[in-house]
Amino acid sequence: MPLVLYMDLNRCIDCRACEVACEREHAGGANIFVQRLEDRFAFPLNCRHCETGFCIAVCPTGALKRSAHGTVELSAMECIGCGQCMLVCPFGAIWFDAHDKIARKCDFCAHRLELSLDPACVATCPAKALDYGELSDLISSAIIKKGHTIIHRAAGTSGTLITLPHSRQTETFPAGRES
Amino acid sequence: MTNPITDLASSDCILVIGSNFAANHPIISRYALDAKSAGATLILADPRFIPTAWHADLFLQLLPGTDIAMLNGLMHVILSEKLYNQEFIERRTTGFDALKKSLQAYPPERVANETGIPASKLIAAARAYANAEAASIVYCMGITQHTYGTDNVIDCANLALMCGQIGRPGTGVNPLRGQDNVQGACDMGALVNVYPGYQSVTDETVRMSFAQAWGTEADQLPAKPGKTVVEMTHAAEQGELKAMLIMGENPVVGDPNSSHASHALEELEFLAVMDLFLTETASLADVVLPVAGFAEKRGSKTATDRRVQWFERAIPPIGECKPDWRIICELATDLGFGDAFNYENEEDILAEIQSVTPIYAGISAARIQNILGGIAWPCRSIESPGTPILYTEAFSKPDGRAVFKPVEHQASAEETSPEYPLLLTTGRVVMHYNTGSMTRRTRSLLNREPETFVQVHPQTSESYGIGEMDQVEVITRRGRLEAEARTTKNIPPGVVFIPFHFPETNLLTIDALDPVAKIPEYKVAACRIARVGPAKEGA
Repeated sequence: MPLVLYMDLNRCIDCRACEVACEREHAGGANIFVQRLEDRFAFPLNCRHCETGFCIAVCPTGALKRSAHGTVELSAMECIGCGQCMLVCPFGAIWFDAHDKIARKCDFCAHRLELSLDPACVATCPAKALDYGELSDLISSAIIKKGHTIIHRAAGTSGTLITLPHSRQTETFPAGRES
Repeated sequence: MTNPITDLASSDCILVIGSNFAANHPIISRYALDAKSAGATLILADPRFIPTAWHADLFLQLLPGTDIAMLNGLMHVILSEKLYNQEFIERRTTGFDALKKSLQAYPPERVANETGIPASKLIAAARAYANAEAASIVYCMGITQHTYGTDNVIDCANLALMCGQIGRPGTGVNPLRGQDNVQGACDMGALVNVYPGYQSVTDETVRMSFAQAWGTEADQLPAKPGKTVVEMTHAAEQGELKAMLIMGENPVVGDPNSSHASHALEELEFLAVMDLFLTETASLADVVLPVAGFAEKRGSKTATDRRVQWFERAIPPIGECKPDWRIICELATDLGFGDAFNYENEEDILAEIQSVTPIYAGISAARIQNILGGIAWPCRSIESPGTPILYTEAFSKPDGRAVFKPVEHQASAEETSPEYPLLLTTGRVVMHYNTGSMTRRTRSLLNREPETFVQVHPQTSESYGIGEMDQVEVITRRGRLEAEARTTKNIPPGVVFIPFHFPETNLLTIDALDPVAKIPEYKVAACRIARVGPAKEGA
């Protein structure tokens, strides 16, 4: 079974600890970016390791390929920095490393998995918004949290399982109050 | 905290006042969110709609400095709807009648007017807290950093007592301490009025027993409270204090009205600073003693929930730095007290703590080196499992009963005026820690939050002709800063928020103190704001 990343967006607190952990794990370049939406939600954006990898399809050198874990991996040695993958990524999760002139993206911390360690973002998340594992296990544990909408396979994104947050109040300080 | 951090997960209602734990205590979020997934109601009272508020079922947006009005308002509702715990009040408390009387003046409509919280929300929050099987109060510096900070805390206790929400799992009054061992520092008597274990310096018997333990005479030990941090800088400025040894503290950035603090330190005849880095304060010192960082030290630490845990060092100290205790012992030896500071290692120190601190008597190094998660004090004997939850049977009063203490809403030290029409409040951002002495030196954190900013409501920025990201100046009676304006509807109109991690912010804050705890009023000052220029290029 392929490994997938799980994000419970009900639990993301916008602390960006995953970014900092990823940056530390990848020699100063983070591959996960916490996005804040309308000051009401935050979500970590990284490579979704799509089931249908447009990036894999367009890569002219075969630098992007499916790994043994079922994730999408990028071989830095084979990347020529053409940027095609960045153009087709539906999530904008691939970035250009101007120093090394190659594409960069989440590698699912393959080097940590080899040592039986969790991906750095998962290990660090203080709110336990992030997890990873086999899809079937994650779905059954995520479904237990009833009332949450679970998104997977949307746009062929089997690589990432997401629990969407409940709607949140948008009310701000009562307008018209004397300041 | 009266209850363990993990206990929050078993709470049915968590009332959070003056804490942005999503940013400042992220690990608290884990347990609060666990409670929420299990169906708990999360209530947040704060002037700003902060990330912690995203997760709240009820958000009470109050104006800075109106916490007592809100708490008394909640209790007024609980009283008038008879939601209080009569059995608990009769069995375990005294003074309820006086409280009842004082609450008459806080009907929801008046409180709504004072705080800005709609009466309907106040009522909903009161019902949720009082009716919950187990309800917990979590508070932080949003309520303590006021000239009535002590009263704010007392009122939290009043609310918990009135509803019997204390002494059981998932309940309690839970202050979140900021540093990994600040609770331990307080426990060890790093306060002006107590010896280790909160034993009063004015108590003759206590003094006698410490004199005996330390092989000296009782009259050699201080018999009256000393000066708190801000009082020390005031005394230095007046020439009353001649020398200081500052450990791990950065008053040049952290003290309120900080231009006075720097001036005061310059007035000293001698200043020594022990720190990891050459901070703004260390730069003023005659001598700087480099100390080891957390990963280079071992020993016990006491967390916010009174949990005493043992830590081993990850690496040996780098360069010439040493653990703080070694520096203190070497200084003591040079001053002729070598015999009293003759410790081989961290275990020796904990052994002395056990012998003079009854609440730590059963917490030996051998025990906590083998118990993952440590032991919570009070732990009065080596057989005791410790006390994760306080006040299960009795309160620390001679008759075991808690005493209600009515408190009244009061004005902050400084109020807005035509010259200073806006209300300045300070706080934190997720990327930085306190005065930034560590985090402003950490590239990944500094890159994400490189400089300070001024947060205002669009109504406020509009009325002063300020555009998004324009450079603005903020002026109080004490100082001035320039920074980038950020507009957000998450803050009430008329309120200005500035994080305090950067050196400029505390030039503005007021050094008015709470009369009991002597904590400064960082949360409320009067200010004015003006545009000074366009947004910085590249911003």
